[in-house]
Order: sequence, then C-alpha cells, then structure tokens
Amino acid sequence: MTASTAKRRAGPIALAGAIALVALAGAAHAQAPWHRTSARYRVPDVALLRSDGASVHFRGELDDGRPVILNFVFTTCTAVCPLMSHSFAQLDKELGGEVHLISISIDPEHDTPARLSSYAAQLHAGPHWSFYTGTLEASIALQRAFGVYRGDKMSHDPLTFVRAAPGEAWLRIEGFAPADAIVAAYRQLRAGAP
Amino acid sequence: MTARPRVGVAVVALLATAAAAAAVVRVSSRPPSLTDRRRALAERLYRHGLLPSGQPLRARGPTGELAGADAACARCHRPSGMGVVEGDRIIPPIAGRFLFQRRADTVAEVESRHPRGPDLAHALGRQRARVPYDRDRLVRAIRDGVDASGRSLDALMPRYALDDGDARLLIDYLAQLSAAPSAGVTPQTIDFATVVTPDVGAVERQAMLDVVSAFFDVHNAGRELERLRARRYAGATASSARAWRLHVWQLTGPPATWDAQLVEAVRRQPVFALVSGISTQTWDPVQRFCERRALPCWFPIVDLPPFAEGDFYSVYFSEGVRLEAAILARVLATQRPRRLLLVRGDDAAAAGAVQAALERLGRDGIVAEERVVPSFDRPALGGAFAGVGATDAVMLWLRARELPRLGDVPPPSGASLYLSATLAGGERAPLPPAWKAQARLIYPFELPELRRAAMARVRAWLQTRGLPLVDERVQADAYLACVLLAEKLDEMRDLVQRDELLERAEVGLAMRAPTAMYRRLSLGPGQRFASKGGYVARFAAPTSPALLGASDWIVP
Repeated sequence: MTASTAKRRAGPIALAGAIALVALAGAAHAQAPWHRTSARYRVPDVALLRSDGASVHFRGELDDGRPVILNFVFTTCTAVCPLMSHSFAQLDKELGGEVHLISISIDPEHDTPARLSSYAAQLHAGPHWSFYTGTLEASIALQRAFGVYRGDKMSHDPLTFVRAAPGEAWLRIEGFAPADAIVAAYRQLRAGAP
Repeated sequence: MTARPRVGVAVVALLATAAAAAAVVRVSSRPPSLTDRRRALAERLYRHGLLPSGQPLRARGPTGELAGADAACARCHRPSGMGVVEGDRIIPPIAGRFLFQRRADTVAEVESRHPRGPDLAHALGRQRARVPYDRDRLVRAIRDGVDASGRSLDALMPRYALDDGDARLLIDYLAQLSAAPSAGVTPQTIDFATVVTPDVGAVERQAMLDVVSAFFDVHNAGRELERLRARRYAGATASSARAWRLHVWQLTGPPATWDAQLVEAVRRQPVFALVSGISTQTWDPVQRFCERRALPCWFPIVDLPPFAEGDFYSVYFSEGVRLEAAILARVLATQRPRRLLLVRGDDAAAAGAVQAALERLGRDGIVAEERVVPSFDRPALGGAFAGVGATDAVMLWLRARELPRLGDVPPPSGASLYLSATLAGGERAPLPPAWKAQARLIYPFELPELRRAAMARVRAWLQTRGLPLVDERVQADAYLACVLLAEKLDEMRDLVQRDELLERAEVGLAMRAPTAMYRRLSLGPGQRFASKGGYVARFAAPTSPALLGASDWIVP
C-alpha cells in the first residue's frame, strides 16, 4: 500500500474541490491498482430488501455460516461498478458453490428489487450471489460501517471485502482487483494466512 | 420533411426520410469523411460497443475481458466524450478537440487553452504533458494503452481489439464529437425556450413564466456587472458568462399538432434547451420532439411525464401521478382491500394515472376497477361510489376544480379513501370537510413541515423579486429548474454542450441542489426522475390545510 492512496480519503467532496486530491492520487493508480488491509467492522443489523423482494435483516444474511465476499454498487453506475461486477461475475463462476457473494446498492431509491433483479440477470448471477437494497438510511449505515461512505454515490471507490467465516476479520481490498487475485486472497484467508 | 444539413454552421438539423422516419441523424459541423451511414455505425460502436459487423467490441480491462456495452467508450467517457469525475477517478475527455492537441503541463497553459475543469484536472492529475495524438498514436493508445508520448495509460483504460478499419471509424467519430457549438449558443448569448401547453390555466402559466423571467433578469444583471468590472479594472478576469434570452413557446390546438409547432418554433429561433415549462395533460409530443432533436428538456412541470427511461434529453423532478400510482400500489399491497375503485374525471393526466395504477396493481394481484365520472352532478357521483363497502378502497384521481362537487354526496362509508396530491392541489385541495376527514393524500413531495427550511430559500427569493406566492409547487419547481441550469452552465464554462448538460445533471444533482418541494434530488447515468418517493398524509383537521404524515417516506 502506498502512502498517497491510504491518505487520500476525504469524505464527501465537491467535484471542484476534488481536483487537488486527485492530482496527488493520480500517479499511484498506475503503480498500485489495488491493495489489501485487514479490518474488523461493527455491522448494524439493518432491515434490507433482497432482489427477490424478501425483507431481511442484514446480519442474518451475512452470518449464515458461509464465507462472504461483499461489495457496494449501483445499477446505473458507469465506470467503477461495471468493472467490480465483472469481477464478481467471474467469482460467481469460480467460487459460487462455497461463497456467499453480496452486493449492496448505494443508490437504493433507484435500485428497487426489480431493478436489482434485472441487473443480476444481465450479469448471469447464480443463486449464491445476492443483491440488496432498502432505505437510503440503511444503505448509508452499512456504507459507514464498512468505511466506504463518500457522501454521494458518484464519489464511491472500488472496494471488495472478503471474510472467511462469521466473527473473523475482513480483508479489505481497495482498487480494481481482478477476480483471480480475489480468489487467491480468499484461498489464503481460508487457509488461515494473514 | 427534409432539412438540408449545413456543414460548418451551428445548426442542429433534422434529416428524415420516409423510409427511416425514426432513424434520425443529428447533423452538426463535422469532417466530410463521415457519411451519415458511417456516423450511425460509429455512434453504435462508441455508445453501445457494437462493431460495424454486428459483433461485440472486445477489450481487456483491469478485471478481465470486456465485451459489448461493457467495453463501449461512452460507458466511461460519456456520450459527449467530455469525460467525467467518478469518486477520485478522472475519466478524461476524448472528444477530438482534446486529443488532437498537445496537453499542457502548467496550470496557466491549461487555462489558456481550455478554461474548464475536467481537462485542467486531468492535466494536473496525470502530472505530465503529452504531445498531440495523431491517428497512428491514437490507434496505439486504443489497442495497446500507450499514450501519445509513449507512456502507459491508466490501468482502468481497457486495451481494445480493433482492426484498422474500425479504428479509423472510431477516430473519425471522436474527431467530430462535441466539436460544433450547440445551437442557440453564441459567444455572447444563450437562447432558451419554455413550453406551455394549451390546457394550462392562466394563473399557473404566469406563475411559471414570472419566475423564469425574473431568474433570467437576475442572471443577466450579474453578467453585466462582471463585464463592467472587467472593462474598468486591470487584472479583473473577463467574464465568460453569456446573456440568457428566454422565448415562450405557447402551444395551441390538439397535441397531434404540437410537434409541427415545435419544429417551426425552433426553425425560427434555435435554442440551446427548453427550461422549465408547464403542462397538466400530455407532454409526450414535447418529449419526443426533444429526443429527436437532441434538445435538452430541463425539468418541466408536468403532472404526467412520459415514460422517460431510455430517453436521454428529458429530465423531470418526479414521475408525477405515475409515482403516486406506485406509492398507492405499495400501500395497498399490505392493506389488501377487497377491491379498489379508481375514480377520475375526463382528464388525460388522470387517465394516465389510472392506467399506471392498473398495471402496477395488476402485478400485485389487487382487483381494481376504473370509474369515469362523466359529469359532477349528484346522480353521476352517486353512481360512481355505488356499492362501495368498508373493506374497499377508493382512489380519487380528481382535479381541484372537480373536488368541491363531491359535497353533494357523502363519502363512501368506512372505505379507505385516497386522493392524488398532484391533481388535487396538494394540501390546498378544496375537498368538502366530510371527505377531508376521511381522505389520505398520496403525496409525492416532502411534507410541508419538513420542507420548511428548503422552501424558505425559495420564498425569500420570490419576495426579493416582488413575486407573491400564488402556486407553491409551480413557482418552486420553476425556480429550482433555473437554479440547476445556472449551476450546470457555470460548471461547463465556455464549452457549452447539450449532451454534457444532461451528463452533469446525472452526476451532480444530489450534492448541491436546494431541494425546494422535494425530500432529495438525485439522478444517475440513465436516470431521468430526480425525486423517487413520497408519503401518505392526512389533513390535521377538516377545515385546515395543515398536513400530517400518515406513513414513513415510501420509495415504491
């Protein structure tokens, strides 16, 4: 991890104000497209809607015993999410049977269960990849819990979270990690490597 | 009808043939090498990631292989090719004007060339200048991710599998993309029109026009001050602001004739965009016109917006009565009435609302029945509510002018009674007291109590302009449309492009806009309705317009 990528998080920032920060961060992207840290999060048990329309509580979904790989997306996102979802689609093929893939909308007022469901269909998402929406407040609470909240959906970052089992620490992968890198990280985590 | 394309002139012309009336090509100043057919193929490649062969465009991205729409240039660089900021990531502009010249490496140099944000930001962000692209260098960038100066492009930029012919087509397209100034724009002025349909009452029409005119006056006065300063004082920056001119396009006659009226209006006076505008009935002909002519239709005040997703050029504050229909369906899905009566008068917006409600309710398995009240006399009203029982629900899609007549009959005993806020005039609905006590408003706005602070700003502005509050929704919406327009034009600075206006609304509505009548406003790429929810509300007392929330915020 480079210092410049670690320190450039500034919360919600207006477009014009972001320029100087971007200037500092720009060089880091080409050299370090992604990096990993270990973290523990207190995840609130918010009420959510799954793309099949079911009302669920998030902890129940998260802690069903399966390993979890999680991200935050929205269906009309143009640059960041399509790439992340692209990675998840490959993970779904490769790990689908053993891992619960979770995608949470950061644009929940637009991403109704019906829209999430057609987004999932476009990605050929299998039964182990779940999509969630809910109130904006619930989505923001989860974004805050995972340290990804940037004040606006257009300001979000590419982040992937991996957890081997309930109660264990999360691996936080920042950047556009290709699927094989996430798979490798997951396998290491399962094997108990730090 | 055919219009001769005038190459080199800032005119958006319409080219339609009998065989391809729907396949309209926008014509602007462009290199002569790009025929209309090649342009259509290139646009498909650029926007949708389809090669001229019909095969998907393929590329290697940072997360693996990409194909088709996922690989399309417009996905990230946007239809205008003007780039965008997403998070801390800058997607640079790729319109030809940016590629085919040297990228400067100092702030002063950049500012002297492109006095605008993204390119400046990009030049700073990458911390390096580059020589201009030529065709060969651009092919290398697209295929191999190597920039004009021989350095590797950002990992986010896919590396494309594109043969020579397709690469040539794409580069020709980039060369003309966003190259011509948009119609209605000169170095000194921007022309706008506001459209009023013939069904709109005189009070609402004037309320909208007064707000927009006053806003334009204030804008133009500010511009004059800047010009004065720049002339008189050394070192003051010359203003790039243009004077705004407003043209009122009052439509007449039946909707089927509106398109021809709009075609004639824009022929006489090219405009950059339609701003605000008002209609209580159909808006379809206006939206279709805007889409065909690539003309932004900027937050009109309409009760029944056409279904706009998939269209690019029209943006709305909300889906109006269709949003109400969806909220109603959501509420009834848990309430499960034995049946639902949808009562309306002879009104196009009410008919559209009923249709939307029937579709939505049908999906949820709720039995609904439409009842059209032909006249608002006692026998007709008695018939409309005949046989309604306590386990039934009634939704009134009635206009304010129709409501007082309900006083001739008692409200249906025990039934759940709902009322369209959009059609009835919100909390000011002139509903007889017995009905008011029983009714719940389907309310697609922020509750009056909760929007007080946001509306204070609007009210204060109206006051300074000497405009009395005559219709809160109309005046607030007209004001908000103008504020958002001013903000986006300010962001675009000298290079004022129609496509980019919409793209900027997509990415930047949530952070800065005053919300006026709404709880929050937010679009995203492809999203065209900014406020997405509402409430069920009830009147505090039968004689009072005060509203109380009877539900949480509902996003159907």
